[in-house]
Amino acid sequence: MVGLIQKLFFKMAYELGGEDAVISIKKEAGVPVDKDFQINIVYSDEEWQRILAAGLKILNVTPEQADVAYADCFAKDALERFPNWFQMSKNSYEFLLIQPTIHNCFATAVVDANERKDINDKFKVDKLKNKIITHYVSPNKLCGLYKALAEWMINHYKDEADIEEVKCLKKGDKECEIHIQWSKLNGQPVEA
Amino acid sequence: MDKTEKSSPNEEIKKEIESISDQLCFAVKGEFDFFVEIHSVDESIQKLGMLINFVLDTVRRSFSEITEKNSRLTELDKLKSDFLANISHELRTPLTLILGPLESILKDDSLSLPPKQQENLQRMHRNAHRLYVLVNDLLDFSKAEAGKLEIHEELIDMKAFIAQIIDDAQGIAEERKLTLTFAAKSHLGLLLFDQKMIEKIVLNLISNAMKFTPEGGKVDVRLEKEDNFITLSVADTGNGIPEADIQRLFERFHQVNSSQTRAHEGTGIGLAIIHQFVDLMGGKITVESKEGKGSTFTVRLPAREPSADDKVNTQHKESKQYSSPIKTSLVHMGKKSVPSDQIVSLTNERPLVLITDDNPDMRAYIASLLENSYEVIAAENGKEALEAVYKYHPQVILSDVMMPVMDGYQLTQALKADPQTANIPIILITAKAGKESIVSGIDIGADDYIPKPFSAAELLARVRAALRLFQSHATLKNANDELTKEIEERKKLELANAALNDELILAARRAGMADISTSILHNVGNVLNSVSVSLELLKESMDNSHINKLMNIGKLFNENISNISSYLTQDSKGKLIPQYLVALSQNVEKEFKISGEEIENLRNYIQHVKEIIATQNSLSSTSGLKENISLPNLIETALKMTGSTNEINNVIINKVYSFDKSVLVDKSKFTQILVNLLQNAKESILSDDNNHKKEIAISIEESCENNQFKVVVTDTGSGILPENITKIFSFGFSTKENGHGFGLHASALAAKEMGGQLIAQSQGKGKGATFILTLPSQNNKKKKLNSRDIV
Repeated sequence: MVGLIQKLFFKMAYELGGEDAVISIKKEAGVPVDKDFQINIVYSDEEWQRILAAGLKILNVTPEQADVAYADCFAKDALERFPNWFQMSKNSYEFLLIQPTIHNCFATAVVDANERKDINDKFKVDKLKNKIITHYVSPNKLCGLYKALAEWMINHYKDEADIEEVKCLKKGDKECEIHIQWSKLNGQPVEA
Repeated sequence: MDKTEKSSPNEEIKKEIESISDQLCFAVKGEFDFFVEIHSVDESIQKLGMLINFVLDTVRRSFSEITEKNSRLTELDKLKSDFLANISHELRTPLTLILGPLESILKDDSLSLPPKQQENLQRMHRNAHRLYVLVNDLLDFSKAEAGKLEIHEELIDMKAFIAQIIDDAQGIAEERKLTLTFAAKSHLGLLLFDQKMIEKIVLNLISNAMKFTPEGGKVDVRLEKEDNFITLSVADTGNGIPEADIQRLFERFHQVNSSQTRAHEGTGIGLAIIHQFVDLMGGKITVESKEGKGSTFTVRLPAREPSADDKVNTQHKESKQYSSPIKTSLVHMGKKSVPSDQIVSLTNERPLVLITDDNPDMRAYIASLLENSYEVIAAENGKEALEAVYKYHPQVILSDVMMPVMDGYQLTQALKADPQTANIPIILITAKAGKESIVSGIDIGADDYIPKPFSAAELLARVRAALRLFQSHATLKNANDELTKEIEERKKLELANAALNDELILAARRAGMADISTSILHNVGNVLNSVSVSLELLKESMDNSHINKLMNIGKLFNENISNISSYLTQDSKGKLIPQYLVALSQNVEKEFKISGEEIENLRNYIQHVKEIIATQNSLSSTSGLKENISLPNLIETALKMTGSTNEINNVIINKVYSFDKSVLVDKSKFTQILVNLLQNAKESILSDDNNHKKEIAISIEESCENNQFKVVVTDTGSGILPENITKIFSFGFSTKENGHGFGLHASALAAKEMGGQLIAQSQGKGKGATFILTLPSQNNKKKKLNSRDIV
């Protein structure tokens, strides 16, 4: 997992619980306290799982609450760090269509050829009229975060859409399948 | 801070940028299987690194995709080549088994086959051999593609070998009206070559040259030896090759002008194969060409003489031993199976079918199928076909799609665009099967489509269907022409009728005017008679007026004015005056009364004249006005108008009014009828001096049927002869000396217009007559007359 995720996670922990919370989470997760995460380096998914579990415990939040808080933190950072992505997308539909490319390429960009072979793209999107179907496969099982991010984008662009997860890894399905159906785009009602 | 140990942030960034640049240098090799490592703690540098790696990953993914697709395509290409090789190989066996027995049959003189069978067998042999050559081309091509071509060298007298091929091709060149020449250096000696490859190279170049050179052109073949190379050149005066095509000329499947409807037959692999052969023999093939001027193909091959190490067949053949397949390979190019002179022998007894195909054998075959039932003409391409259509007017056209000069689609479009030829059914025949080809053909207006191969029965059935279509069109066209003609004639007739109608309207108008005049004359005449009677009475009254006697009394009074008292009491005359004056005043009063009555009559007469005129006016404008009136009153008025009130001229009037209700009738018309009937009755009675019973009976009766009433006028007059009873209401018919024959006619018409009828009855001459007028008593409904409503 690219270090930007961990970096932002600890930023969120700091905002919620201060420096102590960050240190506690690192200790709880078995991560060296002085370890800093670089945004352009890929770290192990297993380490992330530990950090996430520790975060939920130390911050005393439910996974759902964590998803919403983290999505807000992540999206705000992206808006500041990569403003062009937001400008090149007219609405949340367009943004969420390019999201898998961004995610997948970042994931495979900084590993060597041998490792890359073992990495499957986590996101795949079916583009339909005013609708996307996102297929997500990852041991991190962050479909909740994806839905929270999608909702943030929809609100950011002032669009309207229904988000429905019809399959979920957490329920034993082979993938998460998330349907996003827009009813309003660019301030105009759209056909389902 | 120790400056020697720690560099400044700018230097740090510069160092990172240099590091990134160095790492990116790997990309110049076209390899992207790396990523840029960033160790900077600066997040901007990290972000830059992230995005550079993102771009690298995207390029890498694209390369990977392309490589994978390329690999799949190469694999498919190999599979296709293998398939071609296998199928070509498999085809050679059945083809050999077709060609062999066919050749045996054709060479067996003892069979004495009928000419038509012989011709069909020859056609089969030619095309089977052509297929054999094509299959061999495909096999060579697939071998070349698979890198499995091998050279089998043998000693060849190249000059003799090529001379033999050229000799064999002369007949075909003559048929195509081409000049084919061959020139070679006097002695080339025996050289090592793969004879089959050389044969294929020469045949391909010659056949191409002859295919693309129009009649009257030249094909020159030259052979030279220079140093250790021989140079074979084939130059033609043909169409030439567009510059853009020259570069790709030796590419497999490439054809010059390779449009959907290519101009010439061919697989597009011939030049690619010979290019492979020349390559394999260590030579080179080049081409020079100029559009409209011609092309020269030059093959330069290393000329090898056998050495002691060569294990080759050194027993070369004498020149006569070289057998060339040229006749069977090229024969289809030049044969004109349906000569144009056949066109001249056309009769109009059978339907005419035009066949258009650039393949002479196909033309000949289709013609042979049709010739028993149809007249057949043929054309080599769409342009020739178009000319033939306008010249010979065929009923059905069978056309190939892919043809030189003008293809089948263009021919179809041209014919369907012209109303003169649009109805000729066109059946397209092509080797291009599949829905798209059919749809294209039908879309541009073709009537039917036959894919190759087709059965003779199917072709004949489709031609028959097309012919029926043509005949239906023709029938419809004839019917349409006749209809058009009839419409034109009708238009003329309508114009004539319109003129006649105008005249008739004018005549009718004049007749109508005459009717109106007659009616006015008649009815006014009746009234004038009455006026005359009244005036007579008035004049008689004036002439015998008691006023004069009154004036005489006045004189007597004037004379005796001085002794008026004694005159009135003592004079014998004077004593009588008072009594006389009383009697006189009574007479004067009576006179005034009569005069008053007659004046009233005159006023009525004048009113009636007005009404007559109004009636005529209403008749002429076909409208009427109904009023609620009392029938007895109306009859009394009519009697007065005719001067027949009770008893005049000793005519007794008997009136029986058993129906005295008010009815809604056209007063004017009703009065007109009554006046006519009473006037006629009176005149009829008075015309017979011997008639002692002068009586007119008038009755009004209610008829129970249909709410009607009857007015019956019976006279004891002269009566009506039986032969006249049916004519009595005809216009212009009259039994009276000065009659107009209008009164009863107009009365009957008026009765009819009022929704009733007027009939006449008579026992014969001298036995009087009865006229019965029947009218509806509650005629409040609208009645149409000449399309206008009257109430």
